[in-house]
Amino acid sequence: MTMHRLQRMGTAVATRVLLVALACALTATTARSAGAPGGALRIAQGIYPETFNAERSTVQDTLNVDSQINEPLMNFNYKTHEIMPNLATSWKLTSPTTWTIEVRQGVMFTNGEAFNAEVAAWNVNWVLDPANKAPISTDLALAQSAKATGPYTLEVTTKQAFPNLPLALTRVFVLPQKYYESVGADGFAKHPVGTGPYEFVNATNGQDVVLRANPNYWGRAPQIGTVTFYSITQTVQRVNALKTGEVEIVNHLTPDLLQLVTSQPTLTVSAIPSLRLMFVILDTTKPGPLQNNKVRLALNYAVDKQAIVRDLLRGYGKPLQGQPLSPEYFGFDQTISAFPYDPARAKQMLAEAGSPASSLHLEFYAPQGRYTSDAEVAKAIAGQLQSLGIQVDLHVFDWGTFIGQFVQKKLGPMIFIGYSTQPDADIALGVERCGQAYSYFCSTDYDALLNRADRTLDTPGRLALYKQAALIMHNTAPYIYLYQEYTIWGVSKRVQGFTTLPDERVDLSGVSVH
Amino acid sequence: MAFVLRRLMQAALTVFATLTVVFALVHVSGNPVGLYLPVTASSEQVRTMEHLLGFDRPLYVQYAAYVWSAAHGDLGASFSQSLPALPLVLDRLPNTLYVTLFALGMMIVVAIPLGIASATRSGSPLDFLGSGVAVFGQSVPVFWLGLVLVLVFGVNLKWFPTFGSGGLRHVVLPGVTLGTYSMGVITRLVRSSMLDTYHSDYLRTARAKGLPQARVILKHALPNAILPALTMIGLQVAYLLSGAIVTEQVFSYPGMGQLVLQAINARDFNVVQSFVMVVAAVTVLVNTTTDITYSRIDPRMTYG
Repeated sequence: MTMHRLQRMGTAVATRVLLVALACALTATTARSAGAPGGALRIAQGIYPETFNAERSTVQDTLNVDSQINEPLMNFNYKTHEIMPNLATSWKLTSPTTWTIEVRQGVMFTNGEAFNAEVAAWNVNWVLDPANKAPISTDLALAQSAKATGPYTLEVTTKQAFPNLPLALTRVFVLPQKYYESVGADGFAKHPVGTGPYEFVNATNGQDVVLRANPNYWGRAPQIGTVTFYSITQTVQRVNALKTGEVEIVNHLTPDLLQLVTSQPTLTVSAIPSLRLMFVILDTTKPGPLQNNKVRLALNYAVDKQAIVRDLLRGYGKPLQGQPLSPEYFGFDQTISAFPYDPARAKQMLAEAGSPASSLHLEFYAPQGRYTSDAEVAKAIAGQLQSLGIQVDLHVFDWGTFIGQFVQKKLGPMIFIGYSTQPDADIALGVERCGQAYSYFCSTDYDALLNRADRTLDTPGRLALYKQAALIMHNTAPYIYLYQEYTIWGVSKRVQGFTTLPDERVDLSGVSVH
Repeated sequence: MAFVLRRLMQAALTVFATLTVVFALVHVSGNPVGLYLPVTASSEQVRTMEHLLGFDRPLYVQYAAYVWSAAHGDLGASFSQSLPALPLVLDRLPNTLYVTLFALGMMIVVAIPLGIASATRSGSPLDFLGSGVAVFGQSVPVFWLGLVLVLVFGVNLKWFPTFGSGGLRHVVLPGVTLGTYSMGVITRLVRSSMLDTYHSDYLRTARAKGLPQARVILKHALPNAILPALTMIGLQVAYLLSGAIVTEQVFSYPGMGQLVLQAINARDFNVVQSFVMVVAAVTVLVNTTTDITYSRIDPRMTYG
């Protein structure tokens, strides 16, 4: 065989090897192929967790991941509005300013550390320490300190009567004290450890977090072997990933894309009203026509919320009932009625108030890309007011610019915004106390009612006070009450037992994949 | 050596100037405290957080503190992740480089040969193909192209994944999306440069001497025709690194571009500034390398 022929053969073989290697690289199964039935669940969210320390974030997408690893002391039941035991098993007021809490025995962190009252107290004090800048500390503002009084008993002392402490503790996630103190925040961020149903395996920054079932979990055994949370920022891309079978659950879908999901026989949509309530804030604190109560009430009659929900949100919204609460919130008053759409009445009220529609010129600010169809809804509202003869100048900003100006009180007098809080009137109505960052309203009577409710330990007494406060909010109308957003999820029919929750939390207890 | 040292000093000054401009621009957009506090925060808590993060200081004081820290190697921490900002960016750099290198590969492997073929077979179907690629590449919006590629090759044909990283398959669609514009630019540039060179007297002499066409093109025409394209390829690196922002967003590809877009939305200043520094440094390095390569190819170029 000649050298030339050998060279040609060698080249041919090398070429074939290269082609096969390239084909293998291009067709290699990725880590995203589905595991054995019931073995793996893949969830796509819009945001990658900003931290693995659940006490440093209020972003639900972050907490959805972190809460699989680190659990709270208590949980909230949306059906009954009750606080449920979790790592805490019972709690009672032993004095007006002292809560005594029993914690669960026999619970271990996945690194072998024991959970006990001392660890629980450390976690509460960590949240209360201003140096840690825990966002949830605002909900625990009335708590003073925590200490263990026995191996499984702790006491939380409050500055005054604090009937809502158990609700606040549903947002205190328990971290392992010794491990956290030894590795520090950076170390914990690289490898979080908890008592939860899943333990951390690994994470690719910006892309995914992989968890596996905790074999020693104290509670109901997880039915899924591996859970992967992916971050896919674009909503349409989340829908694509669901359609191709790369993931089984996606969150934050928008109504305009639902047909892409419902047209697939293997997929379904799960949508319920969320805790996010949408308003137009009417600034009552600065001089102008909106300081007139009748003008504000008139504006509530001037906006057609039903049309906005029907046409812009495609039915995935629920008009608010004239108060900054919805039925999911403790303290919601069913007897307070919604403001109907009545432009004639609105015009008449404006005239009676000495501010006929044609004399009003209002600046209106809205964010874009923060809420479902936010810019479109703001334009619709502006259009409806303009049809009455009110001159409205609409300014739409990206969320970062918008919220920076908003907390500096540089926007107004009309501001389109939404918020969700823990499902309790004390917290939701407290947003409008004098001096709050989100408040463009101030009433001493209103604040006094909430202060009394803070100290009232019996439930009927609290409800009666919240009803009075909600009535003030209805009658003084510092908002145009718009609608309650829906939380919309796309789910593969292979997933069983998944329930959508109003706070958009991912609860995997009882969830399986087939 | 003197040339290299001079370029390094220029590079340092360029990066410093870029950082200053970006610092001013991101801080003018307002502070991010409102993004990190819950709706239940009081105005006092807003002010406390502003103080803890240093946003209540005058801008020139914040700038001086930042420059001082940066000079000591500390580019600050991410507000949202509470981790050092520069390592966060560098952690994502390899992913962005994979996509950028794929796009660069398209320029070298596809655009240059296509430009040459288009120029040397003027008026032929190949020439129309080359011109078509040039026009298409420079006119199609990146965002639209990415979405179409995902729809066709990811969702309908299922040939490629629709998001994320994890191997060559994940790089193809974002790489094609990112590289299409640059491929169009380089194809057009090589084509016109080859057309200028192809009818030169020295090449006519070479053909008259009986040299094969391939040798005439590759050994004699290309070294002269490639010079403008070489410069443009170096400049395209900066475009590719910054263009990756849109591409990575479309594909949810976890590179630097996706990180910086999230940081911009979250007003995470230190991450944005770290990103700018990394891109500026890479760009200056690539341009310096291009200049040195240029001088190797063209003996007329010397750097004192």
